[in-house]
Amino acid sequence: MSSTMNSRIASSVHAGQFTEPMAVEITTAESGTGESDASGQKSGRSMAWTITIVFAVLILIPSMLGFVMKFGELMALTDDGADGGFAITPVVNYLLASAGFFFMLLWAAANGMFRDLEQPKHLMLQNERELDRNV
Amino acid sequence: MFESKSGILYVAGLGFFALAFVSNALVPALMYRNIPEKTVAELVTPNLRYQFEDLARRFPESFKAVWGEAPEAEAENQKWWDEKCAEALEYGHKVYVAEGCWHCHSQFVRPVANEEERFGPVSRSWEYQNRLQRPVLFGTRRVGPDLSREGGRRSNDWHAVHFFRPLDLSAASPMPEYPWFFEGSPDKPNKRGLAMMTYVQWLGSWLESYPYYEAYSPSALKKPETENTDASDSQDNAADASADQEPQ
Amino acid sequence: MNEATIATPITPKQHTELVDEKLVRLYFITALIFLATSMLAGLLMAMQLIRHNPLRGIEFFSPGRWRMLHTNAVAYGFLANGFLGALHWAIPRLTLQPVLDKRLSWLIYAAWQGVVGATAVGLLLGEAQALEWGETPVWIDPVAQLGLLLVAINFMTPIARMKGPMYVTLWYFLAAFVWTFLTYAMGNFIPEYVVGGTAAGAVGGLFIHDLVGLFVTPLGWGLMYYFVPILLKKPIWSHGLSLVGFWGLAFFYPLQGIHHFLYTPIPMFLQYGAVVSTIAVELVVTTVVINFFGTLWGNAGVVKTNMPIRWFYTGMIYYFLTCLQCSFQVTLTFQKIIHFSDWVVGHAHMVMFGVFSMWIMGIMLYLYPRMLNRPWASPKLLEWHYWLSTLGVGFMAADLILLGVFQGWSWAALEPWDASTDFSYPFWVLRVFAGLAMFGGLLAFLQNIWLTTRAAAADRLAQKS
Repeated sequence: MSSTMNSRIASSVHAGQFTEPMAVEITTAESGTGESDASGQKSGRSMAWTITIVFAVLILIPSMLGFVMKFGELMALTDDGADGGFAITPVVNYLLASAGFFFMLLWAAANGMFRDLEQPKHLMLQNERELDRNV
Repeated sequence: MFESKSGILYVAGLGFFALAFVSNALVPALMYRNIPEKTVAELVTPNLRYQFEDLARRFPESFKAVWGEAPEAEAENQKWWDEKCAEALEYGHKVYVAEGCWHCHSQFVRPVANEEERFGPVSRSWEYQNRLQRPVLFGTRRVGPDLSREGGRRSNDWHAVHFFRPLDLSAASPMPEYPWFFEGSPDKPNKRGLAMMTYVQWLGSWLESYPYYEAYSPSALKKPETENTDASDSQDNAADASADQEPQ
Repeated sequence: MNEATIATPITPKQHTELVDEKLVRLYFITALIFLATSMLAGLLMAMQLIRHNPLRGIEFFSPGRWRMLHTNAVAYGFLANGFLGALHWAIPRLTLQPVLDKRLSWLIYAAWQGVVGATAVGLLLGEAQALEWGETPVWIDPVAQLGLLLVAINFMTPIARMKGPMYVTLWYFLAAFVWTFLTYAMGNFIPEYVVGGTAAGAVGGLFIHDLVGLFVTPLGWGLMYYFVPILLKKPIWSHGLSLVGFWGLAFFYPLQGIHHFLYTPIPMFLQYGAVVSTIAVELVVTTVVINFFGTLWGNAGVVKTNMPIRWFYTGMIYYFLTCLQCSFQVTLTFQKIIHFSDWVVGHAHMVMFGVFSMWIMGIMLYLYPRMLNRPWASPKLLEWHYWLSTLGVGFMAADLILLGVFQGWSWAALEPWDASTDFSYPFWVLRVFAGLAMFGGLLAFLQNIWLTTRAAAADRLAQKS
């Protein structure tokens, strides 16, 4: 326990006498992930699929059931004589509001707001590495 | 717009906060703006006066030491009692808040879970439009029961002993003791003790059903016969006063 | 400060000129002292509930007053100080800009401890304000407000000065500084001076809610988005998805205040709105949790060896559980039974200790030895700290949530009131032990800090001679 803990700390302490072990740690970590990618990728991917499908079934079945039931209730309400049309009013309101958000999304995409969305996460790690090197 | 600093600042930081504030805070505030907020003096009902005068009868020495003596002249006498009662009520509220009573006792009766049966009439908005609900004391937890209809349910003697040592009256009560409301024994309440009892007796005193007992039936409540006349007067006044309240 | 450092991010920066490590450490130690105080206060209230209060009948140890100290010390003493310490590390390093003024940082530190200390004294002297989580006596409120303004200015300056696209952490921080300031102002002044009665209840609900949602949560998640990739040495799974989480939180979270007061005289259509947006935010929460577990995917083994990561992900599991619980708790069906019961107390402990305290602990665990330039003195104590805290809070939450259901049913069944306190007794006893375990965990941590600091001092001495 204590040896793994120490090596962990050594890898996270980037200053002073710990500079060297850290550098070693990084290279081994990178080559390590490369190897495990080759061997473990397949089983990892099938596992991911299994989990996704299990969750999808668990979530989708009850929610679809609920939606269909509620939708049926709404339909029954709208058929209900002359006032039935009022049941749709709030639904139309929600649809209009959602449509507004949807068009805002399209507008944002058209204006290039989704370009290079992933860049900052790499920059951040790069900055961290720079900072630790400069100590 | 959405990815820039000013976009985050104005849209998320200010805009969404303002949207929530308007919909969740401003809307109810505007809806209740026509219900006037009562001052503490306006909260002194005959019901409460009865309990306050009862304190003077039960703890004459302590009462005199804290609030002095009522003037003889009739007009001044009434005014004096009203003033002192309002003063006690306000101070009692301060003690109630300071001791954190409101963290274990709620002050609102919900229209669900049989609460109407247990505690009394469901809470209405106008009940909260007064100085002593600023900030409002809805409460957050019920270790002990709801108190919004507690007034008049139990005697001042009971409250004195209960504040002093709850376990003497309620065998497994987790309620803390408050000996600092008294000068050594339950029959010698100090200012805080008297004020707290006034405050607790005030709760619900504005309702027609006051005092509300569990499984309340009107016939069970008799007017006190042995007490002097102004006691029965206040009972009558109580009915009148609550009829004056505009129903929500 | 030095204008010369404001340049493109490529210019090499010195960590030492960005981060004031002494201040970070001081914030952490102060936070832990307040946490210990808060836990003792909670213990006192727990002992009162089982009728074994050793200090009963003493005014200054009134459990009602210490109960307020308990929640306030956690919010303003522990969480705020812990976050401020971590922010003094994270913001300068993320922006590559120092804070506005380092002397101002120290002034804020001192002023904030003054605010928290005065709050504690005020509460114990009986000066509370009747606003949950804002019991701070009214004469301290303006000082605290000013402090929050200075915090915002001090930290928003480097964010404003930085160039280039912003990482999601800074999105959260930027909004959080504005929100915290506004939330505190709204909660502490409006129900006291502007509106009263039922409307004030709506504001109060919004205040407690926003304090969690717009102060604690964005800072907490922001720090997670920063520290987790660094410790795992790989970027977050999807930066785009993290922004969905940000906007979802920003839009839905503030709309929910009224869900704290369902079935009150607050208009029903507002209550419905609060319920719906609460359930909506649970979906947002799920995207955030998926993002973090997507990042961990393939490296799950590190939770065994990497202590901070283990704390972070334990906190995330608790976060998911507590949010899932919330989406049930918030429905009117559940509210009928569980409102006012210990269920809510269990929920609160799971959020505040199980999630945010765990994250702060994890950050301290990572930064503290790094700043001392020395590994933790006792890995064994680290394990004790983790397991006592994790199991303690899990046990407490389960115990209280279950008890809450029993209490709610008992009340609705019109059993005598005493029945509910009678059958709560064994649950309350278990809660004391769970609390003691959590406190034991903290003691193990403090002991470890003491040993490590002493060893670091000895190192320095040896180097000198």
